[in-house]
Amino acid sequence: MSNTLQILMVDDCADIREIATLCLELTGDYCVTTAHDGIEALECVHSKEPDLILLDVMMPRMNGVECMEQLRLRFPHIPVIFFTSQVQADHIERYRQSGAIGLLSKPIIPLSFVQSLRHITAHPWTRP
Amino acid sequence: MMLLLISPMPPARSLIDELKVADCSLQHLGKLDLSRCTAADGLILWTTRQSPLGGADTLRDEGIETPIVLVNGPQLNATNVQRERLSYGLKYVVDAPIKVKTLLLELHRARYPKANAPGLDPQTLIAERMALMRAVYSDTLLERIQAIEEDTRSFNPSDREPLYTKVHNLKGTAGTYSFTRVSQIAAQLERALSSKEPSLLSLKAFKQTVKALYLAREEEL
Repeated sequence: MSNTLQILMVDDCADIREIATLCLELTGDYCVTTAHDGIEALECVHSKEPDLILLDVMMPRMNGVECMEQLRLRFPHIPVIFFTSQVQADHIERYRQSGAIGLLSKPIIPLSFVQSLRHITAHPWTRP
Repeated sequence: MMLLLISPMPPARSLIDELKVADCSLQHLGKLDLSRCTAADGLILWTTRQSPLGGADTLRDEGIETPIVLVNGPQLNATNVQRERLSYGLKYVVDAPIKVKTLLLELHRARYPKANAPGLDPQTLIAERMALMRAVYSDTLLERIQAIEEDTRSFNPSDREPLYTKVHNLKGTAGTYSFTRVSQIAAQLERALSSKEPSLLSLKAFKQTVKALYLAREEEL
């Protein structure tokens, strides 16, 4: 049985999806599937049931907050981390209340990205 | 890096000159030296209507697993269905006329599809990939700012979404590629677009911001 954690990375920017996937998979601890908006994310979750979801906020068709509402209704057991550059206090409060376990802020910094993700999964809503 | 350019016809001299960053040699599609194909680090396969993707089939059928970047020639326009049909790693496609930066990026993707590539430190691989992606992104930055400038000229306060989306994307992507000042200015503009303050949404204010974006781009290239 594989010990790798299945992550669904949802972002409308292909470059960010690629960099994040490389960073995560190089550890050998994660296997990454990607989706480019909230609608595709829901389809992926339905078919693959990931262990963790990284969710951008500003996306076409269905944004991250709308997607999160659907996820909480249909897949409440899957932890979600918002991955966004919208990190003002009122936004953070909204993410917290939505049921997410944490927030990773953009831009992506390869050297600290995985470390921050590990911290959030171990200690939701605390700073490293 | 040793590359092999495989083409059914002689490619433009300028392309070969541009590829001088790599050790690139030529092969005619009809007279392939398979041992050279195996030894190369990457194959650049130029396609035509007469041999649509057929060269790749030939190579894979011969058991050659060297990464291939397909050049989508002006006469071919390979459809996504055709590309999908080739389950040979031919998702790496550049469109003609070739931009060398794009070609080198696709070659890197073809050679190292995963971060756990043998013989290469993962951090080095990511740094190399990001540098190549930044180089390609740099060429699009001017167009992105121009598109924002265009939208500000016809700005409609009751329909901010198209401009907001462009500005938000610029903020995120520029930040990713260390165009820090461009990203910061885009963030200011994004905040202005979220506000109801008319002075922040005037044509004069937009002009100043767009000018600042152009300057920041120049400085950070």
